[in-house]
Amino acid sequence: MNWIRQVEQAWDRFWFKPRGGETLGLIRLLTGLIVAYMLLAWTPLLTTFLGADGMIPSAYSQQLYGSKLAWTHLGWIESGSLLWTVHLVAIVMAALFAAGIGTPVTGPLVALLVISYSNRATGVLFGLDQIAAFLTLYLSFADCGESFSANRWLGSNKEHRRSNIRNNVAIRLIQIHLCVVYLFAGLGKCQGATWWNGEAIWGAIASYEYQTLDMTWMADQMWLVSIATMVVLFFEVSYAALIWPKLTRPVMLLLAVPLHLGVGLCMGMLEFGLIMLVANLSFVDFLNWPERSS
Amino acid sequence: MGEDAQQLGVMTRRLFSVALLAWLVVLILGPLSNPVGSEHLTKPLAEKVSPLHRLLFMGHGYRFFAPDPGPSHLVEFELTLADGTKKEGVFPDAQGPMTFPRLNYHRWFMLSETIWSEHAMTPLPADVERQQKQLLELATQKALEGNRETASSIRAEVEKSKTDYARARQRIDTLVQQVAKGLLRIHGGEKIKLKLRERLIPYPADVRDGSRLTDTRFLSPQQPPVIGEFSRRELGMEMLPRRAVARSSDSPLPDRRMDVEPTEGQGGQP
Repeated sequence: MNWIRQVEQAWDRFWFKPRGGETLGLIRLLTGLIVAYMLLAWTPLLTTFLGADGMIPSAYSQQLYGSKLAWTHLGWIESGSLLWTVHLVAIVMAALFAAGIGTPVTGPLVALLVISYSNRATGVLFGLDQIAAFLTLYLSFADCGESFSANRWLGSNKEHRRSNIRNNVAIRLIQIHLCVVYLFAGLGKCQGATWWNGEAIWGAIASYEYQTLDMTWMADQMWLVSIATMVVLFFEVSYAALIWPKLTRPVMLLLAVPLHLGVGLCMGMLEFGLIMLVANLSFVDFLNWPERSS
Repeated sequence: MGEDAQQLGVMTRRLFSVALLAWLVVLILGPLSNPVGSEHLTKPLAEKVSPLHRLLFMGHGYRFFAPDPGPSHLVEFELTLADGTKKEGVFPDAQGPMTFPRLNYHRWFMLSETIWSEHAMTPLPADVERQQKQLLELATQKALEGNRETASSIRAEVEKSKTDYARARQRIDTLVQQVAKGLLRIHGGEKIKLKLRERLIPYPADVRDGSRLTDTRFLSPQQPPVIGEFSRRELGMEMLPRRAVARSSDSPLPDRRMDVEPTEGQGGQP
């Protein structure tokens, strides 16, 4: 029975310990900026892809999933001018959220916008949209508008070190969700022969469609390709275990930087690389100041 | 929630704990059932929580570059302009004018990957009919053996697969038609033909020997299959007025590799 009580106490400490909003504030700022950029980037493609008669059929998501619950507000808009107006409002909302303005309202709104755009754009999505969706979802209920916020610069925020349990739950959910992402990305790779024979990274850098930086000189240095392949596989498979102990956490965080910047710079997915690094901030301890209970 | 864990009553903490545990189950069921999962455990459970997955854009598999980084997929298109000349293009095209910022290039890239995967995952109608015919013969055989329950369950399965297949085909056809429509709007033209092609990953030895990633020998198949051929009229689009035709035919294609003579019906090699 003592063991059960210990587990219960550990569970309570893990989930219900109050936490300040500093880390979440930084994650909110960076996620908000990336989401604002994602929305802004839709602008030249707005009617081409997401219009009522756009390249992606408006019911495509619902047909693919066989569910009307894959909702999108963009599917209700027939008029082009209304679509542009609603899109502009979405960009402004994301910018306000990034700035930390009105986060109790802009937070949930931005989370809904990310979901809605993703459901409308099913067929042209990739990892960036999935990561943005869970980050904004967890930020939507956190008290994350006080740090790294325009309110603070404007002097309208006098009580910026308020700790609460909501923030801790949000951080924990981001951490666990990120572990799930890495674990399944890693386990999926374990099924592939090229991740075992050390050539998988070659497959990524020699893909013309992904390439932004020519790394094919590595054809002469395949031992380097093998090392990079093994490091990526090790990182993803072990992240969920090694990110928690304080001894190994810095190593995993340091490994995450070249991995995601490499994907971003060499394969043209800078936004994806950056948002993965933003999610990793949830494990950066020096910003997390859990309240020492009195 | 209150300011301190102690302020939460035991019951409140327990209620939140149950909710958090339930959420973690919902979260993990996504990658445990997508793209593959147990037919006897994770898939039926994921089906139960799918409303939440759909509502919150969850349930993803997160298999980035798994199991192996593979070939890219290209949608090639051939436009017939009003004066009968033909022009070719392709997406995604890193050098194209419609791909700034880079994130938008990636959207085009994912569109071509989706079109390819929709076609690759959906068997040809003839294959489906053959499979359904075999299943119906098996159902008849089971019925003759007196096993009516198995026979009726096989027939029900065939009916369901017919409905599912019709839905999938409709979804893919609509997608291809909308893409064709969008390309005609961007580039002009009276007719469009869409084809699918793979760009294979070269071996390191190929690159060491001087091959370039863009060499045509890495494109497969040499004669790409046509996935759709439409005229503006068939797509319900207005016919272009003459001045608009002249203007649109001058607009740059994503890939201005070659002009094809009007008499050549087949798409040339890129």
